[in-house]
Amino acid sequence: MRIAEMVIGGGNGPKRRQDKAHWGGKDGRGGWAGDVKYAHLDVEKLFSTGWKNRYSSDESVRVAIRETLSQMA
Amino acid sequence: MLQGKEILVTGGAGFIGSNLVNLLSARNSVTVLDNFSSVDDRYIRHLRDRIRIVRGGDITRPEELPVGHFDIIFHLAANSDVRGGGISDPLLDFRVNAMGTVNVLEAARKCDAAVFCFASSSTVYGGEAEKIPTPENYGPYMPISSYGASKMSGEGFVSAYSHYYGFKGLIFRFANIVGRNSTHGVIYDFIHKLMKNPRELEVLGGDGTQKKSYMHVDDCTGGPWSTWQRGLQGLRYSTWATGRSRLS
Repeated sequence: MRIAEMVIGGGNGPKRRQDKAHWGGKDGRGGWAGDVKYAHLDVEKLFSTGWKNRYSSDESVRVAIRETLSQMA
Repeated sequence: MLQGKEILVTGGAGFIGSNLVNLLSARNSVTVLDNFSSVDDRYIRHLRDRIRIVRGGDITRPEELPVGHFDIIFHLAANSDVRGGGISDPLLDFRVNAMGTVNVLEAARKCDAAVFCFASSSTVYGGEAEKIPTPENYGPYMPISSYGASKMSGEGFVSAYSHYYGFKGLIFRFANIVGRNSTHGVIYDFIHKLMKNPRELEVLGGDGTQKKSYMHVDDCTGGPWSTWQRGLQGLRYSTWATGRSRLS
């Protein structure tokens, strides 16, 4: 849900109260066969090599939203 | 960072592939193989003076795979529509992602590649991994999609071929990569919907409880390669989870 709200705000959050996301599908519950609801990888092995990521998860989403909007403009 | 290498990137016009090609082509001789089924050449067009593009190259047709010598092969070409298998044609994932990977491995063996990098996925684990966060050595794999099953199969063949033929097999289990040149995915889908209806965003394919951690494509393709090399430590086959940022 946070990503939906971040997209609505162009990477920053909803701009207006009436701008909102809602869940579609029957009874507001979508879901599709084969979807993995929780994906959380242990990346300690990668970090053990000394590598450091540049962006946090939230920053990654914010930057990606701005980049995608820019490419669609 | 790699330099002076002959590199083949399958799926090099796509999301992660085009970002990787952009990065590698500055210091290496890069050949891109892509059938442009997901996107045209818009993300690599500006590089056409410094890369070779095998147009129409399809990994399901071995005769279309390039011949010659490559030091490293990055195999990213795939049917990337995880949803499609459950809706229309699970065999598509088998033909493209499993059999197609075997075709590229055959090409790798013939061109005497030293390293074969395979873009796998966290979907190999399945839907209910008991260990969260999930490490590389978690098992057994129990994929719940034909996409996950095909990537699991691809990993197995990379392992087998690396042992048969002596090249290094590196598996990168990507999860939730986001950023420029995206051709699908949650952000891309949401923005497209909002362009059609700016006042309302209907989110299908979930119930609001999905929790995922995201990694920007620059983090995915940029820094890790040199450290992955350091981390190999002589291993012939190695798997790397590559789908989460540790920063909170």
